[in-house]
Amino acid sequence: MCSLARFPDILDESGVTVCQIDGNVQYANPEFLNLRTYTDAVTDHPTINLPRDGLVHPKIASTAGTLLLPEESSLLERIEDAWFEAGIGRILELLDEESTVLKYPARYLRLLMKSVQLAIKYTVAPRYEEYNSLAHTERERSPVVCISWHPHSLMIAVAIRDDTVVIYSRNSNFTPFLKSKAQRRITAISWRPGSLSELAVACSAGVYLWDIDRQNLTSRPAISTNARLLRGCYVTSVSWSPEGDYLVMANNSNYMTVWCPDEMRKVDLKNSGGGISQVSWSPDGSKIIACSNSHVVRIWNTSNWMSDLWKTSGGQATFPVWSADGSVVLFATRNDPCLCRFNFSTDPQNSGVQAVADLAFTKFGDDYQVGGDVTGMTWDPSNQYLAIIFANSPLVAVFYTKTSPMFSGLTFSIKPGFFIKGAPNELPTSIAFEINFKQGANLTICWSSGRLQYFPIVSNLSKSRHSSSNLSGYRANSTGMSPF
Amino acid sequence: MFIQKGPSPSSYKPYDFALQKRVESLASAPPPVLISAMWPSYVSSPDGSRLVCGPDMSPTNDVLLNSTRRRTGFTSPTTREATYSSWAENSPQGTSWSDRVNGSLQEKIDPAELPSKAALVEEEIAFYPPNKWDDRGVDLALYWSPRLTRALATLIGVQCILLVLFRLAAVVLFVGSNASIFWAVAYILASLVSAACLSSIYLRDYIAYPVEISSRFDAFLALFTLPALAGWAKFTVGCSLISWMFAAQLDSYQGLVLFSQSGKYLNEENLYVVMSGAWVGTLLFFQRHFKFTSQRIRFPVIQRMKFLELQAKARPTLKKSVQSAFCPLVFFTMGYHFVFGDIKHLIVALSVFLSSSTLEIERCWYELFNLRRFLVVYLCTILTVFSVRLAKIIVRMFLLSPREFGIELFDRYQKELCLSEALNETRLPLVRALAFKYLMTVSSSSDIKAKSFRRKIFCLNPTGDVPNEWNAVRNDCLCIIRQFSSSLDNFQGLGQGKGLRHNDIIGALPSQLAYRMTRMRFQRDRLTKQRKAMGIVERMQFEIREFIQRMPWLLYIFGQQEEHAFDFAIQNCQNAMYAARSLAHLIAKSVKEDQYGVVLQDLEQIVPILLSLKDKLYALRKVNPRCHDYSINVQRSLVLIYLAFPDTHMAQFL
Repeated sequence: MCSLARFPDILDESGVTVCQIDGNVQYANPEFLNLRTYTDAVTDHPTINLPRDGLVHPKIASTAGTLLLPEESSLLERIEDAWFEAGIGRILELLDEESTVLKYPARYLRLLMKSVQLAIKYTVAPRYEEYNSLAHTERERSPVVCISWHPHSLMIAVAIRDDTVVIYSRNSNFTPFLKSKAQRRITAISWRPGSLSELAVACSAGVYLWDIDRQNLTSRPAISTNARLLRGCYVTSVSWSPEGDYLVMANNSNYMTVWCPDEMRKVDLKNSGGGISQVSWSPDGSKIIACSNSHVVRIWNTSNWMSDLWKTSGGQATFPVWSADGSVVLFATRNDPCLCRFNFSTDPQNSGVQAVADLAFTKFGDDYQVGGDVTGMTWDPSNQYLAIIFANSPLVAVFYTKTSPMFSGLTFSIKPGFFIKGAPNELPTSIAFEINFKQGANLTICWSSGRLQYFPIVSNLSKSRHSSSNLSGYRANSTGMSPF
Repeated sequence: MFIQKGPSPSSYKPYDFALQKRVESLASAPPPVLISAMWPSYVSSPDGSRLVCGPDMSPTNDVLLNSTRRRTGFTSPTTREATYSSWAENSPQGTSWSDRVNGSLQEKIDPAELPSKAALVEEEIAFYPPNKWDDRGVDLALYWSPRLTRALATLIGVQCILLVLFRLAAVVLFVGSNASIFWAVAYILASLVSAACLSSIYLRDYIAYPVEISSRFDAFLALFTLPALAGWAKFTVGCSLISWMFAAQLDSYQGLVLFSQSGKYLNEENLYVVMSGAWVGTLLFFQRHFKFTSQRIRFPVIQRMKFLELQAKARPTLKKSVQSAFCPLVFFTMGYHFVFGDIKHLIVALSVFLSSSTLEIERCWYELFNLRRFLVVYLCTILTVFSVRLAKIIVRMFLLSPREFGIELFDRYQKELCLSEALNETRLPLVRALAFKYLMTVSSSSDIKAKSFRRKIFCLNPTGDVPNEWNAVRNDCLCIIRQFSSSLDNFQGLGQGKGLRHNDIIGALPSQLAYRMTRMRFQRDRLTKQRKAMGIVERMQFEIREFIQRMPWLLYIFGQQEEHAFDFAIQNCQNAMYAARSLAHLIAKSVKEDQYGVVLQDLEQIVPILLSLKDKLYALRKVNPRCHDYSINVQRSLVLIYLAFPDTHMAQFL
C-alpha cells in the first residue's frame, strides 16, 4: 500500500516549491519568488492580495477589565437579569447557588435538564461540540477559510477569516466583497455550475446564495442580491449538482437538505448516524456521498433517492473527492489516518471500500513532519494528481493517481508524488485545483501567512497531451511527470 | 407573421380526403415546376397566443409531393430544378432547411416511370401518415383515471390504517366504543365516500385549467358557480364523514341517534363532532377558493418512491394539522355554544322519528367548559385536516408520477399521444405538464435510454431532408416560451413604481397595499399631462376612477388587481421554464449527438427568444422574487448554450 514514507525527500530545504515542470519540482528562494521565470502557464491568472483586515488576528478581550464594577442587587433582580440574559438554565444555577428554600429542587431540575441536553447532543448530533471547536480553531488559525474556483471561467472566490468572501477574476480590478451581517463562521463556498455569477456560501446561519452582477461595479453587492437558505442552521458543507439545478446541504442535524433554488423549494433526506460533516455530489450526478460526524458514510443514489449505509473502521470519513466520471470516490479517515477508495464497479471483486494509502504520521529529517489528521484534500479534474494537507504539517503531499477504464469498471492506482513546501513558518490551510486549466493542473494553496500560491504542474507536452485526452474521455499518461 | 408551427388537431380536416384529392389532381394535372412548400405553416393571432392555419396551408403538402416525386420519379418530363423545402422554410433567413443543407437538386424526370395511383397513395401514406396532425381520438382519460384509481385506493388504505391505530389507542386508554364489528362496513363506506369527494376536488387541478380571477370580488361571485358549490359540498361531506369516522371509535360517539327503551334521541355529542367536520371542510374550501393564484400543478423537487414520499410528508403534515386545527375549532366552539346552539332543537323539531325532548339536547352553554368534549373534537379535527392534506399529497403523488412518451411523429400504430402531441395538448393540463417534465428529463439525462431518445430527435425523416422530430420539439417549446413572454409584456408597468415610496402613504397599511398605492401615484403623475387634454366626460370618468383608487380597502375587494394576474402567470409558468431548460440541454447535447447539425441551424432563432424572456423576467424581479429566480434559470439555460457554442457572441448579453 502506498504510504507517505515512500515519498522522495525534499531536495532544497531552504527553498520554496513553485511549480513542477516535466516531472521536476522547481524550487526558488523565498525572497525572490517569480513564477514567470519557470512557466507562463498562470500569467493571466488573477493576482490575489487579501485585504489587510482578514490577515490580522482578531483580539477579543476575555474580561471587561476593571472598568465595570459589580453592583449589589437582590436575588429577584438577579433572577430577572438571568432570565433575559441566559434563560432558565442560569436561573436554576442561581437558585442552586444562592437560594436556601429552592436549592435542591433547582439542583435536581438543573441536573435533569443537563442530562436531557447531553442525551440530545450525543444521540442526535454526536461530536457536535468537537466539530464546532475544530471549525472555530481552524478559522482562528488561518486567514483563508476556503477557496473555490469557478467551473467555467477564470474566477476564484476566497473566503477569509473576517467572514467576507472576495471574488478575484482575470483581467479585472473589480473585486466584489460579499459580506452580510448574519454571514458568520463560513464553512464552505461553492460556485453554481451552469451559471456565471452565483455562489453558495455556507455559514453558521444557513446558506447565502449570492448573485454577483458583473456589470454592476459596486464592490459591496447589496444584500438584496442574495437569498438565504436554511435559515438558522449551522451548515457544514454544500455541494451543487453537476447541472446546477440542485444544492445539497449538510448540517449538524440528522437531515441532509436538497434545495431547488429556481423554485425555492427543499426536501429533507434523513441520515442516521449523527450530523453530516461533508457532502459531495458526484460529477455524473448519479450519487451523493454524505460523511457523518460518526463513522457512518451514506451513498445516495439520485435516481431513486435511496441510500446505502457504510461504516468505516478508521473513524470519521472526511473530505470526499470524486473522480471525473463518478466511478471512484476517495476519502480520508480521521482516527486511523488512511486514504480510502470507494469503487462503484459492476465487478463485485473491485467494488466496495478499500484502503489505498497510509497517511500515518511520518517525519522527514529533523524539520518536516507530515501525516495524521487530514485537513484538506483535492483531486484534479484529470484525476492525475491528488493533493492532501495535514494538521500542523508544513507540507502538501501530492500523489500521482490513475484511473483507467476496464471492462467491468475502473481500476485505480496511486503512487507517491512529491511534497510542496512554503516559506518558513508557513502552513497550508486550504487547497483547490483549478477546474479549467488547459495546460495541465494548477493547484492553488493558501498558506497560513495569507499568501495564495498557484502551483502549476505542466510539461512541454502538456498541450498535445491534454487536448488529446479531452477527446478520448480520459487523460493519457505523462512521459516525464508521472511514473505511470 | 409566420411562425413555424405544427398544426393543432382541430385545425385540420381529416387527412384522407385531402390526400385523395391531391393524388387525383396529381394524376390529372401536369406536375408543378417549382414547388415551394408551405406546410405546415401557421399565422399567429394578433395577441400571439393562438396559431391559425392559413388558407393554403392544408396538409396536402408540397413537401409530401416533393419527397414522393423524388422517390417515385414522378415529375415533369424535362429536367427541372426542384427545391426541396420544408416547414422550416419560413425561417428568418428565408431559405429552407434543405436549401441550407443540401442546396438545390437537379432531377432527371422520366414520364415512363409514372407510378400507379394506388402505389402513389400507398407511398405517400407510408411517408407521411397523418397520425400526428388529425384528431386521432386518443382517450385522454387514460392519462388520469388509472392514476386516480390508485390514488383513491391508497387514500382509503391510509385512512383505514389511521382508523385502526386510533381505535387501538382508544381501546388501550379505555375510551373505545364497544360497538359491533358490523360498524366496520359503515366506516369503510364513509372512508370511500370521503376519499372520493376529496380526490375529485384535487383532481380538478390536473384535468381542468384554473379560472383566471382578477379581484377578490370576482372570487366571491365565483363562489356561486356550480363547480364551486359542488366543491363546497364535497369538502363539507368529506370532512364530516372523516370526523364522524374517527369520533365513532370513542365511547358515546357511535351514531347520531341514540336508542333507548323510551325512544330515539339525537346524540348531541356526535352532532357536535360532525358539525365541526363540516365547519373545517368549509374553511378548507374557502382557503382553497380564495387562493386563486397558487400553483396547481407542481412537480416534487426530487422523484422518490411513493412510500418514502408519503412517509417523509406525513410528519410535517401532521405537525401543520395540529397547529392549523386549533384556531378554527375555538371559533367553532364559541359559535356553536353561543350562536348556533339551537340547531339541535331544529333538527329534532324537523325530524319525524326523533323524540322531542331528551336529556341529550338539554345541554346548555356551560358545555363550553367540557374539556373532554373539546379534546375529542380537537383530535377529530386534527385527523380531518391531516386526512385532507394527505389526500392532496397522494393525488399529486400519483398523478404526477413520471410518464414516458414516444417521439415518433408518424407512427401509424401508435395508440397513445406522441411527445409533440402531448406538448400541444390544450385540453388536459396534466398531459402537457407530464410531457414537458419528460422532455426535461430526457434532454438532461446522460443514460443510454435518454441518449437514444435524443438521437431520434436529432435524426432526419426518411427522405433525409427534414428533421421532423427536432422541428416539432423546437416549435412546441418556443411556442410556450413565446406565450409566456408575451404575457409578461402586459405586466411591465408593474415594475416601474417598485422601490418608490412617498411619505404621505399611510404607514399603517400592509406593505402590499402601500406599494400598490405608491405605484398608482407614480402612474398618476405620468398621466397628468394627458389629463389636461381630456374631454369633460372622459375627465369625469377618470376622476371617479381616481376617487376609488384613493380608498385602498375598497380597492382591495373590488379592484382589478394586476398583481393577481401577474402572480397567476408566474406561478403557472413551470412548463415554459421546462421548455427553456430542455431546449438548452438539447442544444448543449447536440454538440456531440447531433450528427446532421440540425440544431445549429436554429440557434439564431432560439437564443433571441430566450434572451428576451430573461430580460423581461429580470425587469419584473422586484415585483415578485420568483421572477428573479426564473430569470436566473433562463440565464443558466443561455449559459449552457454559450458553453456548448462559445463562438455565438452571447457573452455580452449574459
